[in-house]
This record gives sequence, structure tokens and C-alpha cells, in this order.
Amino acid sequence: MTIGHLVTLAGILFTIGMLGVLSRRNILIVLLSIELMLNAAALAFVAFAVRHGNLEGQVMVFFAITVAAAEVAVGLAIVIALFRLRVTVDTDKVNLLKQ
Amino acid sequence: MTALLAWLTLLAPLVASVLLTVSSRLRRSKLGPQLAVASVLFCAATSFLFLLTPHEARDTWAWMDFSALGGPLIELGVQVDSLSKMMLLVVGWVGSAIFVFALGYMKGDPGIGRFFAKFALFVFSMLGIALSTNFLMIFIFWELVGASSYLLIGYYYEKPSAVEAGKKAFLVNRVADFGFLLGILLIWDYAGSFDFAEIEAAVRGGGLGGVGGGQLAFASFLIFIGAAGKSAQFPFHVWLPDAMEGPTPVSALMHAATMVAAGVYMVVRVFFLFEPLGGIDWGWAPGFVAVIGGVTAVLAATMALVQRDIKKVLAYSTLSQLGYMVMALGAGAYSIAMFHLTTHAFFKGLLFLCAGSVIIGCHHEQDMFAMGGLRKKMPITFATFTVGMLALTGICPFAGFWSKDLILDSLHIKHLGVLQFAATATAGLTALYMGRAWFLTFFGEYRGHAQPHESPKVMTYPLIFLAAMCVWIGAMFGPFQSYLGHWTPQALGIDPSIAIVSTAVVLVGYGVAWWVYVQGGVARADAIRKRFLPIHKLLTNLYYFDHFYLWVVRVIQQGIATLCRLFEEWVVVKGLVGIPTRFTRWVADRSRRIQVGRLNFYAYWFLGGVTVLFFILVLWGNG
Repeated sequence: MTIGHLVTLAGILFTIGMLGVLSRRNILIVLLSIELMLNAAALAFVAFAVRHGNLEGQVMVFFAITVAAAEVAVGLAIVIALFRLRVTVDTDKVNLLKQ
Repeated sequence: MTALLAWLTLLAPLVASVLLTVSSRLRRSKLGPQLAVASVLFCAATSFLFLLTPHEARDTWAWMDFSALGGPLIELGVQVDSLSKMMLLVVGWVGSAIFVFALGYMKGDPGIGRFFAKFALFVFSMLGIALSTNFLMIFIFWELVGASSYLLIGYYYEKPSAVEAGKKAFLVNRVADFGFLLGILLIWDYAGSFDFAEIEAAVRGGGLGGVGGGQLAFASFLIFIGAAGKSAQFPFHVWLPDAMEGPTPVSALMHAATMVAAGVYMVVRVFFLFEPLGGIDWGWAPGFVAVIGGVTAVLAATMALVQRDIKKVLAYSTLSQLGYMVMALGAGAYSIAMFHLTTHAFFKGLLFLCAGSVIIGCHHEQDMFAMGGLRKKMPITFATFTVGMLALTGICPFAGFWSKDLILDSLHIKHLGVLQFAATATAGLTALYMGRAWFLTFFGEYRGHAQPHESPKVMTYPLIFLAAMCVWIGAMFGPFQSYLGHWTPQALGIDPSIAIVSTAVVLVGYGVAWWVYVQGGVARADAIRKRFLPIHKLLTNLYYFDHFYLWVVRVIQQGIATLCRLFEEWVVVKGLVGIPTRFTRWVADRSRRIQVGRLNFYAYWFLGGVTVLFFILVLWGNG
């Protein structure tokens, strides 16, 4: 397993996440996709850390995971609040600001 | 030790004032006013102690230091030398008498706590001026005096005229203070210091670099403007008579011990800026000062002739006496000016308190034509008023005789003949208007409708004390001059010929007053008024100074203000603000179309942006 494999895997995961963000309208799926992109980036960090033989990338992953946990907590809270308010998780229906 | 005592003296009235202001319990209780009185009595005690001991002290505290930035070192300090000791004595003693009197005068007033809080603040500001070591500190306390006088003149805030008078006093003083501030900054620029001692050393030692006499004279002139504002010299005199709207103790304090004395004291403190010194051509500055004093003395004395309000007569008299002091300053007789300030503080404080006693006795009547015959009903007030009047008009051996004749003598020595003539004429006018007030108030038949009665002891005892001081302090002119040796350019004595002439003129003034108001009665006064109607009109309108200032404000200032408003409306609002506003709106109208309200759409934009940034980084980044 070379660095190439790992980076390719990260790239594939990132692209899946990105496509999910772009195409899906269910806000839960969008959030999941964002998580996927974050983890893809974390994987790339680890890969490069192994390649360069230092710990900086690994440390960065810890930070990324911490931030992601906090972000998910906030994000899900917003989704719950949104659902209580509008009874929907469809992003296209959430357009009060435009009107 | 002396310095510590000086700090305590300075802070005692402030503490009293702050306590009275913040503690509503104190304000309502009887203890509150007495706290303020106690703080001033403490000042009187320490000032007496200072006078008895020869110690001089100077203590400074570096408040803000900007010297690392090339800026000034701002200090607060106290300075106890013979000059400030003298001023402390005046503030402390006259102030104490007035404070005790005010206990009686303000009795039963619902705002008595507020009154004494401000009154103590006033004394604190004046002590700050007396003790200050540098220009910046004196300026701070200068403004404090202005602010507290504003509060006190407008004490009866339900009365529109009192509020107006407070504003007028404050604004006129602000105009003059602006000149003072410019002068201070100029001096700082020349001498590199605010400290009096350092500036004096620089001026005397020629340490001013290439600064010429003309420049220094201009700076001194600006500083004198500040003094002229506080001491109500022509053309800033208009605020002082209006300041009579405050309670009578305020008038007494303001006219005797504080405020108006500040200007004269400050000039004496920095007298080296007004001295012709070796090698420097000082030009017109000292002569100018003397002329301003002379003009004020004569103008104010003539205006006093036609006043009906007993307090206004005294107010114009103060203006006139301040003119004397400024004349002495112009003649270079600084210790004489200080001596006249001291004697004037005692007899003018006395006269104002007598007026207050009369006003209370006649149930807040101030018009002299509604008084009369009070000699029998208020014997103590009558006797003390008489002493104050004789002192003011300069009858031997009362205080004013010595100080006034020394001023005349100093003018004579400097060959200022015209001013000497003006000063002598003013002495006659002084006797005329004081005699008029005296005869109208205390002689003849009572013309009012109230039941006049003598004032309580808390008011008459201060009168007796001040009257005794009026007799005693005049005899002290010899020791006084040697005491202020630093400020005495040449030894002056009483010149018999000058004294006889001035006394004769004063007696003529009294004679005329007697002839008109006692022998002729009010009818003769009326006939004379009709005979000289245009002059009377000019005098009652105060030479139209107020009209002129009002015209300046209405026409010139209003014109400039209108121009400014048009500029603001058309150039600033419509142009500088309006054009960017319209541009922003135009851009916003066009760019709002990309806000479609769909999350995926924004994600596309975001992705596109990131991609573009990525390529930019790759292509131009690390190369």
C-alpha cells in the first residue's frame, strides 16, 4: 500500500462527499457528505504524515476530529430546530431570506 | 510637613463636596452644610498656620509622563510660598466668613445640601489655582472655577434669568479661556515646560532659543486674555453683573475671594512674563494691560451710578476695583495689585454680605428704591456696611485707602498720567455710587412694604469679623510689601499729595451723593435723570455692550452658521454621502440576482471559488 493508494482513496471519498453536498437536498445527507469530505482530508493528512515521517499531520487529524465533533453537534442542533420550525429537512423549502 | 498640609488644605473642601453630593442622607441632614463649613474653616486654620511659619514648600506629583514620546510631563503640585500663602489666607478667611453667613442665609432652602456641595467645590477650585505649580494645573482648576460658578449662578434653576446668567458667565469665560489655552501652549512651545519655576528660569536666563520679545509678548497677551475673562475686564466684563442671579453668598464669594481674584492672582504668579527684561523688547504688552484696567475701572464705575439693584451696584463696583488691580499689574506693581486684591476681598465680601443681610431683612427685596431708613431697624448691618463702604472708597484709615493710594502712587511713578487721572476720577465716582446706595438704603423713610428686621447672629457675626479685618489689614501694607518682596519692583509709599487729592475727590463724591439723595430726595434724582436722559439711557443700557454681543451672535455667527449648514446640506449630505450611497445601491441591485435561495446553488459557487483559488495557488504559488 503506497502513498498513492491512500491519496487516491482520500480523493475518491472527497469527491463522493462533494457530489453529495452538491446534489442532495436532504439536509441530513448534506451534513453527512460534509463529514465525509472532512474525513477524506484527515486521511490525506495521515497519509502525508506517514510519507514524511513526522507527526504534524497526525496532530492535525486530532484537531480536525475535535472540530468535526463540535460542528456536528451544532449542525444537528440546527437541523432539529429547523425541523421543529418548518417540519421539513428539504433545503429548497428553507428560503425565508429570499422572500 | 508643609507640603502635606497644603495637600490636605486643597483636598478638604473636595472631600466635603463629594460627600455632600453622593450621600443623600448627608444632604438632607443638618450636618451636611456644617461639614462644608468645617472644611473651609480648616483651610482658614492652615492658611493662618502657613502665614505664621516661614516655611516654604513645593511638592509635585508626576501625573502623566509623555516625555518618552517627546511630549510634556504633566504634573500636579502644591506650592507654598509667600504669594500662595496670601491667596490661601484670602480664600480661607473671607471664605469662612461667607460660609458661616450662608448657613443663616440659606436656612430653610430645600436645596441647601446641593448649595453647600457646589460651594465647597468652588473653594476647592480656587485653592487649586492658588497652590498650583504649573500652567496646566492652573488651567484645570481655572476650568473647574468656571464650571462651579456656572452651577452656582444657576442655582435657582427654576428661574430662567438665573439659568441664562449661568450660561452667559460660562460662555464668556470659555471665550477668554481659549486665549489662555493658546497662550499656555505657546509658552510651552517656547520654554518647553509648563512649570512656573522652569519657565521663569528660561525667560530670565535667555533659554528661549531664538524666540523674540514680540513672540513672547504675544503669548503673554494671550495669557492676559484668560486673566481678563476670569477677572471680568473689558471687554469680557459682561458676565459679572448678570452673575448676581445666584444667591448672595455666591456673589460674595465670587466677587471677593474666588473667581475674579483668580485672574489677577495668575498674572502675579507669572509676572515675569509681563516684565520688561534686559535685552528683550516687550513692546506694548504692559501698557496694554494698564489701559484695559483703566477702561474697565471708569466704565464700570459709571455704570454703577444708575443701578437700582443693590447687588448690581456692588457688582459694578467689583468690576471697577478689578480695573484698579489690573492697572497696578500694568504698572508693574504686582505686590500692590495683590495687596488691593486682599483688602478688596475683605471689604467687598463684607459689603456683599451686608447686602445679603439687607435683602433677607427686607424679605428678598433688592431694589434700593424700595428700601430706606434701615439704619434704625438693622443697626449692625448698617454699621458694618458703613465700614465696608469707607474701606471701599478709600477713607483713611480703612483698608481701601492704603491699597488704592499705593496703586495711584505706582501709576504716578510710571508716569501714566492719564491712567492716574482716570483712577482718581474713579475714586470720586466710587464715592458717588456708594454714597447713593448708602443713603438710599439706610437713610430717609422706609419705602417698601415688608417688615424689615435685623438678621440672626449667624449672619451678623461674620459681618463684624470682616469689618474688623477691614480696619486691621489696611495698616499692614508695610509688612505686606516686604512679605511679597519677590513681587515688589520698587518700594512704594503713601505720597501725601496724592492721598490728599484722592481723599478730596472722594469727599466731593460723597457730597454730591448727599446733595442729590438726602437733601434733594428722590425728586431731585429724578430731575437730574430727566436732564441727562441720553446719558442715563446709555448707562442703563450698559454702553450697549450686551446689544453689540447679541448682534455679533445674531448676525455674524448666525450668518456663518447658515453658510455651514448650506455646505453640509449640499456638499456633504447630497455629495459626499449621497453619491457613494447611490453607487452602493446600484451595485447591490445588480448583484442581488445571484442570491437565488437554493443551497446547492451556493455550494456550486463555493466549489467554483475554491477551484479557482486552488489553481491560482498552484500556478502562482510556489512556482
